[in-house]
Amino acid sequence: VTDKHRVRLRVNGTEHEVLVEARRTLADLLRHDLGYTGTNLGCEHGICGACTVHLDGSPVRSCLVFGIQADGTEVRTVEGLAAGEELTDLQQAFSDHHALQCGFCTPGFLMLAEAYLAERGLVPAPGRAGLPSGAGQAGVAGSAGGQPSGEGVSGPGSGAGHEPGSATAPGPAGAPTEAEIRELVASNLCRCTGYQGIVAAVLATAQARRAAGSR
Amino acid sequence: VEDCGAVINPLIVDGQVLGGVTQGVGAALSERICYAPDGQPLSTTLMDYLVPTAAEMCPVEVLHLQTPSRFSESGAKGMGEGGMIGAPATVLNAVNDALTSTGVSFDHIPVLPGELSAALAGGDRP
Repeated sequence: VTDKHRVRLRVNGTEHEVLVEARRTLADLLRHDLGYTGTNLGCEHGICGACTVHLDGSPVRSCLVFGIQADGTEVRTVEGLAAGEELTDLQQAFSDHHALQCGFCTPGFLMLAEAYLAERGLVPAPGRAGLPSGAGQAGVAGSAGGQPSGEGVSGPGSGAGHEPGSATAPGPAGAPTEAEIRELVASNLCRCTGYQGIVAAVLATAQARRAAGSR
Repeated sequence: VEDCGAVINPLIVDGQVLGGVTQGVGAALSERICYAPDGQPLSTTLMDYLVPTAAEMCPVEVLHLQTPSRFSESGAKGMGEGGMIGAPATVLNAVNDALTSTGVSFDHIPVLPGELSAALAGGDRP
């Protein structure tokens, strides 16, 4: 079990190379080896969704992915959403709708919702925090780089990866309905909020992005 | 309808109530800690101990009756997850109301789906 494996991955636009045991989960790799502690671990067996991150644009439960499986991938964590201190529209909506109380599940819900919105072609308007300026490029633009501060969501700067999924996603059809978003939100668990604020925040963001004419 | 005295921060107060109501719905319909006869815990994961998800919850409207406290500077009484208190009884009464014509009724929570179908099939109290 002491055999270490070399893993090269890009997290929020920053290249990392780490040596980890085969049993190391992606969640633990992110938290313990790289210091991206914005990703929270709840149940550690794939039920609660608190540890949701994007792996090459798709939402995954990072407690169910081994670190070595992330070799060569692009990972996006909650630290990669906001550019510096400026919240993304989704994060602001969470605040406005009181979609969090203790906040433990929040990073997972944010990443889940961002992946869903991207899949629907509802990405933040250009220039908004969290969107690479070179939209359309799979790479990362304008990464502020830097190491994670290790504290909450005020981690490393911008440089969020573009979701490959959004390039192939169907164009914006109808706006997501509340029922759809409720079903999405049911993927993850929250003990404090009763979900109402989370559903409202995601719905409001979807509607605002759609109205803004985002792709 | 809740009464926490003077509402100081409506967002936080409503959030507490909504969270409490959800916990109450879970307590009434899905959350139970089970043990084997030899004491082995059986509800060891969140797939066995079922916390409500967004799909189990309906939209909830929160109203406030504000009776200011005489014992605090602001009139506030304090606000915890008070929605937890009324929700289980409300849900249990709704279940029993829906079962009126069947002659089956429950006097405990949680009322789990298996219990309900067994009671309806056998006509007996579980």
